[in-house]
Amino acid sequence: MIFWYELKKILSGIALWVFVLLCIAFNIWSMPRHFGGVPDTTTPFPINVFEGYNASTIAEDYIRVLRLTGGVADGMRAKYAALQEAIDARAIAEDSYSPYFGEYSFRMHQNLFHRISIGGVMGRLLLQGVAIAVLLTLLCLGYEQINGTELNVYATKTGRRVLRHKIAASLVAGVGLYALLTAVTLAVYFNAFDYSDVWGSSVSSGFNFIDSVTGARPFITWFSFTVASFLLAFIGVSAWLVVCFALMGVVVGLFSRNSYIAFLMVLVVNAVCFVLPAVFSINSYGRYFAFHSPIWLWWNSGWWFTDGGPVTLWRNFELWGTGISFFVLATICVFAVKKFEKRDIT
Amino acid sequence: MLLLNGVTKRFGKFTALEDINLEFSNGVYGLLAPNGAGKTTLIKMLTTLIFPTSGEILWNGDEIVKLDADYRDIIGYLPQDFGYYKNHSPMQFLLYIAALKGINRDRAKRKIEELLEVVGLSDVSGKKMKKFSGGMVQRVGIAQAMLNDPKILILDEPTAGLDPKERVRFRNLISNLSKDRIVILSTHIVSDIETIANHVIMFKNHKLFANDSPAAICAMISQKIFETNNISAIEAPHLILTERQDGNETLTRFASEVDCSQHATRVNPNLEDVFLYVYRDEVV
Repeated sequence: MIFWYELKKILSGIALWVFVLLCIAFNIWSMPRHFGGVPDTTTPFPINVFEGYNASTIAEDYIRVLRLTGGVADGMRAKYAALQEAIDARAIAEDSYSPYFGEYSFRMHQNLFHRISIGGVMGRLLLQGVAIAVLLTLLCLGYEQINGTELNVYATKTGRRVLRHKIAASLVAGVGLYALLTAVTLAVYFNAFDYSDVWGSSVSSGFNFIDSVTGARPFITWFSFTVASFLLAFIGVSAWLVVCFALMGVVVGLFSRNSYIAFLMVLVVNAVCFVLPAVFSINSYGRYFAFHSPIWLWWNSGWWFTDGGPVTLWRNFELWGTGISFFVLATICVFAVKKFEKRDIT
Repeated sequence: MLLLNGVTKRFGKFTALEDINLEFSNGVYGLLAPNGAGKTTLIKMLTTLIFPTSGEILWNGDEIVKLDADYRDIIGYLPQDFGYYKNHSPMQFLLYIAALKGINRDRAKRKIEELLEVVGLSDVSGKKMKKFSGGMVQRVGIAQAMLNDPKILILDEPTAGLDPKERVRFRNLISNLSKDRIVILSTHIVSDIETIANHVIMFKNHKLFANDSPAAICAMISQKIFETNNISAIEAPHLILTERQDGNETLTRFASEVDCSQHATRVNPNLEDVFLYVYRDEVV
């Protein structure tokens, strides 16, 4: 019951819905409207690009270009050695022959899935979802302070345990609004671009590729993905990342009871996380750990489910990154809540 | 029974309350002290909003911090600055507070209707509170404190900001609610306590100064209070308490350790005299 009250409280703000509508309007306004031609969704790619493909060449290219040495170079080699199994599996599954959008495959894949700096719809949706989730979380945690109701609320039977309901409501609202934004934006996107023929195509089609500092190479994923399953997996990991950012909001929101200061603190924390890899040398493991913080996971969303290129030494970096971020933030969150329950409300 | 054993509260190096020993059983207790004397600190400890630095607070022998939700289930609290959601109606706000108090929705609705009737807000139960007067908001505050029919009702400065008519109404309300429960009323408005409290608790220098009936408290300064229309004739050290107009004369009420009955009329002290005397800055 309290959960529903908290949910209602944070979702009843007019400013929130104005922001959501502005996000949707911006997404619709800024998205491409047409292919610029007629994509061929029936003709298969002529060759199996995965057959005989040697993953170690990718590793050696990165090691050479980035001047990796020592354990980091070994880690890079180990990652691509493991990727060889995935490449062989793609070769056997003949994913390369999938037509996808033919010659438009790379551009269409970038349009939808690449990071925000390149105009990816999903990356932009993730950023908006994160912003809404963090703001909602801070609003929810600061609601009693803003309204001057802390004393009467925390002196009730539920007392400071109301935080558990608030946190649950924030997470549900954050993920729910991310889902709403995604549903509306994608509905408009798929209305403009007909995907009905390509849902079953493999994203590892020979028409699709990865463009990295070492040049173009096939779009290799750790698991076999169709366009539909890739989109669902992408939305799933995005939702987890939204939860991670919301948990970050919880931790900061409990540290600073002023919602405005807390929002600035969230920005500062993420800015620090963003510059952190630059603090380490390129051959330091710290640099690669730092690339797995939530802000970098969002920034590198274009690499999700692939080998991760130069930003990771480990397979499935997006799953490990979101998993570990969630675990760390949830643990800190539990401690922050416990500490808050023992703190004086002055 | 609510018991405080050697309770001290410090905020850093500042001691807000020191070694407080008190015992509360059914009745109205008035916490009388100037602002900053520690009334709100005590009340926040009694509501588990803050925790004693040392000492213990016991409810029927159990420490209230350990009782946690079970203890808060039996308290009703009206904070000094009662906060509310301006866009909520009293009904909506009280339903939310009832949920926090663990009262199921059907029972809460019945109880809210009953309480809104008691506090005279039935006709505005569905109106948004942003247009309410201070008195109406305070009445919502009383209603939320009473939702769980508390055994301990704690009211922090409940009449602050109310006009005289609302204050009288409020006092009557508290008198009616005070049966079969502990009511702890914090105020620096002496007349509130004089009217409804059975016991007066005073703090001075962050320590317990007095804990007795109003009559016994007043007796502390009996023989020391005088009235005169010629204060300049009083040569003995004295403390001017109040002045009032009596016809064309100004009657000055003062306290003195010396017998001034030759130049002034000795009068019976009231709580206001005690308050002004105890919390005096200096004697003239």
